[in-house]
Amino acid sequence: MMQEKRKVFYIRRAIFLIMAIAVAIPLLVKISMPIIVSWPTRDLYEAVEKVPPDKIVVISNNWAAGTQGETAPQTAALIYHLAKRHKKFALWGWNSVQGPLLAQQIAEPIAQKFGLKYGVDWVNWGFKTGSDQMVRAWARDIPGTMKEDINHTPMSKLPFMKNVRDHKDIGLIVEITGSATVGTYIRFLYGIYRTPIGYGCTGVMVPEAFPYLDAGQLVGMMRGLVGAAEYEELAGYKDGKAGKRMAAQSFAHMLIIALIIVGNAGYFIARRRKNAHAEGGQP
Amino acid sequence: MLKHRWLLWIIIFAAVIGWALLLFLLGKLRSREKKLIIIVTTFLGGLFYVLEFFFPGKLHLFSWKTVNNPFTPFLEPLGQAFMVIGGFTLLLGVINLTMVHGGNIRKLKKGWYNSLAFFVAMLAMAFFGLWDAYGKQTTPFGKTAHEIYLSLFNGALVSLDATMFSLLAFYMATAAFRAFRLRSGEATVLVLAAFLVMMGQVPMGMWFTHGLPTEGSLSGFRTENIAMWLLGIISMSGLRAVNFGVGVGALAMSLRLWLYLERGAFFEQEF
Repeated sequence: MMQEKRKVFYIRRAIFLIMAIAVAIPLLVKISMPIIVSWPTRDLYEAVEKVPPDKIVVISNNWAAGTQGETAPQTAALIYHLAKRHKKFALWGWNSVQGPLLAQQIAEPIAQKFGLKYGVDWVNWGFKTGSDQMVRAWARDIPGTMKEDINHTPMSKLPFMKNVRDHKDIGLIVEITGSATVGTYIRFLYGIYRTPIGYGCTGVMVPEAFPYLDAGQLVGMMRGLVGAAEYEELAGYKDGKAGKRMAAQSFAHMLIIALIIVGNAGYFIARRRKNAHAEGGQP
Repeated sequence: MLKHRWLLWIIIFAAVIGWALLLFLLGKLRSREKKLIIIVTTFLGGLFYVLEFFFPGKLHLFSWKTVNNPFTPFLEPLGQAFMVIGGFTLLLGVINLTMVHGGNIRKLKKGWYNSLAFFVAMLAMAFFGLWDAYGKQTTPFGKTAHEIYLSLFNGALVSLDATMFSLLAFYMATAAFRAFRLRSGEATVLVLAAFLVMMGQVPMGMWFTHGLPTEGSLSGFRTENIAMWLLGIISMSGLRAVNFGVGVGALAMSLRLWLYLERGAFFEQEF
């Protein structure tokens, strides 16, 4: 029994070590892999391209540091695209306090690179609490609900907000999240006002989003880290992190597949030995 | 907008006193009366949103009178009220944590030093975060506070949060090795589908079928296209059915809660 426990102990630690090496090597050594763009990402890209110049894009950052491996590159790729096309955008979040702060750190260097001015070309409304009811009120009166931005500047003092009143001034909302928050926008923005909704989510949430994508309630989607890498490819974002991290994810996926095969091989061999032993033991 | 600033402070003071008095009076009521207030308040709250949603934006009566939805103007003030209530829940969480961890320190329970670490971390983050948001950042202390806040947020909070989630990858690898067993036909189909989706999501997996054409009938056998077919057709159909079921169940449960038809430990307890 003790021998079995020790065996399991060492096997687990060996797997942890192999996984660490498999993920670390691609991050330390530059390994570039070709990215093939899928249709959900392409649809989202084209939806952003189609946003009229007199409307804004709202990036809803309902993600936290725990999911930043996937959601941060998605946010960065989207902001890069918007900045490159000089489309006005606003950041905010209502489910995670960290989201708007982390998005601000991503947006500042990109906006500076393209000469975008805060308060004129882009703003960060910060974190607002209140969930569904607050979002409904926000859709009808954005300045009245927001009151001030992340730097406590009143809405009336921001040139960006001059022509932004309600949902009619929003050309696209892109929800980037690691939680099930897109339903709020689908119910209260798309459902009532038909505001286009885009989506960026973690890999595990992708299957749940396909019904909405198929029904047209979502105009496009970035599927986890691979979606971010595809979006970087489309937007021409060479300094993006997603492309570099895809090598690490590739190694990790292949390792898990190999572990499943090895685990099952061991299982079948052990079962055959047990059956042979049982047959041999019969009188 | 109020003409005089001091009027705002009087209104705030009056509201605090008024609500404190109301809570005091509610505490004096009997259990049955409290339950009745909860039932009526829940019903009226739900009724407002139901009526607001289903009542048309403009209703034409008798061709010479148009009536606007009378409930819609109240959406914004209610939305802002919910934001305020959301702020209360934050304070409620802090009070609860303070009571629990304060009790651990006071009684010197096992692991009391972890509770002490909690207070140090919470107060430090709150102090430097509030100073960064509302304090003067032009003074030497303001600049130092800003640097400390950034170190605590980026260096501690964000890094630790990401670390906790990163552990998932290692546990998933060991779970895949130990738990994924092909004990039946269904398990085999599940594992095969998982293989194809995982391979179709990463460039290394897509490389296996990179020789196939990107268009035409053979393109359907590329790993990324197989993965998208599994996600977009097979999995989506099942999930849509699940969503319908969940939606109908949620509607039924909401109706039961709204109309106070639900029974159980919480709904039967005395207040």
